[in-house]
Amino acid sequence: MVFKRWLALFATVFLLSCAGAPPAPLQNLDSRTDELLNTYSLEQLDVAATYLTELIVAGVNGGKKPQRVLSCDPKRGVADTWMMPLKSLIDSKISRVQELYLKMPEEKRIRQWNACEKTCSCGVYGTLLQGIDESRLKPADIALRDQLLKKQGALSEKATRTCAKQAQWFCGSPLMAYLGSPTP
Amino acid sequence: MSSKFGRIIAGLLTAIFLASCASYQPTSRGIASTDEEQLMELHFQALINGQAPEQEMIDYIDRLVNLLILTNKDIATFEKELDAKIAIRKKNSRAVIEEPLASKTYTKLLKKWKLKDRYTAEIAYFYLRCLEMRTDKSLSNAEHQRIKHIQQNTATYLANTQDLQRVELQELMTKLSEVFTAFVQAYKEDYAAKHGGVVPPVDDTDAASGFGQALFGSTTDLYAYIKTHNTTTYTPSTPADQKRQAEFISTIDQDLGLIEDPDRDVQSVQDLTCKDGKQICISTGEAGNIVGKVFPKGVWAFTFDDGPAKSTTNMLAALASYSDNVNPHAKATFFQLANAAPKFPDTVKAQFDAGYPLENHSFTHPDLAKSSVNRVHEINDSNVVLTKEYQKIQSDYVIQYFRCPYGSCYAPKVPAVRQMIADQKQVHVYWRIDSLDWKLLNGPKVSALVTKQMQLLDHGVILMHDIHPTTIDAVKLVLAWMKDQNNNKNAKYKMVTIPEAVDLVNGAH
Repeated sequence: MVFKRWLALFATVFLLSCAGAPPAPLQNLDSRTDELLNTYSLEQLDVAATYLTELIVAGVNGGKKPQRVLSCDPKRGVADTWMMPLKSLIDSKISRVQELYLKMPEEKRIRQWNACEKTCSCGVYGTLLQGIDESRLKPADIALRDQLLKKQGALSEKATRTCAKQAQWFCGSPLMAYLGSPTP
Repeated sequence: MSSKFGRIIAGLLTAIFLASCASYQPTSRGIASTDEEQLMELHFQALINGQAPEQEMIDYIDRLVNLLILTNKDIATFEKELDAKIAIRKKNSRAVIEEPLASKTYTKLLKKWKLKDRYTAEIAYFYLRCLEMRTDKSLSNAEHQRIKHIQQNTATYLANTQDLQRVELQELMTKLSEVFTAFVQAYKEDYAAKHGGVVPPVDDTDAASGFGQALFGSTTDLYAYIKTHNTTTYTPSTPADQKRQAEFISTIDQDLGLIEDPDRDVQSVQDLTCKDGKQICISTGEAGNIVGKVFPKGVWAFTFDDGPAKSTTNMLAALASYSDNVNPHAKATFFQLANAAPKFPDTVKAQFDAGYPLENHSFTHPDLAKSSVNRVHEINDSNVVLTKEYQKIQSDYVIQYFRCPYGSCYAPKVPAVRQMIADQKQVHVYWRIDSLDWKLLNGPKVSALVTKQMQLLDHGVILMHDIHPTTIDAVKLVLAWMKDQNNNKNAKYKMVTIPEAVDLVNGAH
């Protein structure tokens, strides 16, 4: 009996203390995105975008209940609102790494980017090159850019889904928390 | 002994939980949505399993709807009040008034938007759950009837309060489709049970439809509503329903005075924006953010961002060759970057010659929500540069619209940016369909995504980018599909520019 009373008291204290816990102040948007840009690679960010795109496309094609991609699939509407903040991150990351990628030895870069299907990054490498003025690109890079964009466009449904599934790290990640926050 | 033991245990537990509470962090919106759903589900179950579930549910939803109506009214009032403050501040920057975007009014407005979302989500959730439960064969006939009544009531409320549009249409369509599949299955099983395991001889669709309607009559009401969802008012088809609607509206009017709302302490202010019943105007509120939800039925505004670029010429060629029974020629609006337009003077001229409005999309395409961005440069300076460029071709040209890169100032996220846009006497343009062309980089895939949504959503703004060659392929395919719909399938997909859409919406009032 006494034990029950103590438990009730404990419950009250617990509830009161939780209700009164002050919410942690939101970090400034710039520092939050900086942190994310330091944490995630361009390839990771792009795979997250592939995952969300897959959810949106499957949701629009609808009809039947879309097949689950990962354990944390947000609803289509939510995925839709996450795409643009994610694109903003991808573009920022591209502008950070653009020069670095271009400084890579040409042979190495071409070899790495030609195997883009493995990392599901054909599109983002192509976009990276697309963002550079053609006058600064070597003919080999222009050809590579077109090839990368073509490869991305030609991805089969199955391959896209496989790529989307590579984003397993996304569930519960700081990136997911950021996209889900009120002002990403 | 047991008292001492209890104290020790409780003390320990309290300490552990207090420690865990101290590190409590608010969950983010996306992740919390699951918890919110769980709460709504608990509430739903409590109502369904109550003493008088049907009445309890109706009373509860009644209250939610009333709160929603009040919230809508408050939002309108707060928006007017905020616009009034902004107007005073514009006229006299030294006026002794609260800084509008740091004012209590703005805080209240944000709060009310949040409430509105919550109420609407809850009503929609209950509605969808009812719909779902009606496919549950383990329930008795009486339970089915009860759920059916609750669902019908929810649907009526949603329709009557003009908020069904806020429920994700796509979600409803998916849900309906699931329900329909369940009808088909149930029909087959029912038939087989009655006919010794024989497969139904007639077409599944028709038979299941009849079977489904007999069991779940009101899905047809919802189909009817979805067909006409562009209208903001639900018009009942029978005199009895019309009477019920009139009674309902008068009940709501009476109820308005009964519901207490702690935030309703606003004094009426002069309406300084959206005069003469206009729905779109320069404003930091919803009226100053074009999404396309208020466009007339079948009206679509194609918009292209991030240009001009090399590929823009091909886009213009794709658009130039288009005409159908509804559209004598294609129409589009281009949101351009100030660091790109001066590099492509011939393209800009060609766009003017073709009659496409050119609008502002910032200087360098940054995320304007970031405070490190030079917003004056991106919003004001870009306006100067673009205007100068455009006025080389048309001397009296004025930029009327602005679209934030990444849609990052979709109200109410970045009020300061929205204020800067309004100060430039421009209206912000968002979108209803995102083509995801930048990611898909494939004409047929982008086209499929756009046309499917066009069929579902019926009207609005479409977002594309004229800098991707694959988007040109997509546009060609979308136009080919639209031509087929308009010329051969009696559809009426009408293309408009953003200024034309605004005239259509505002002119109608």
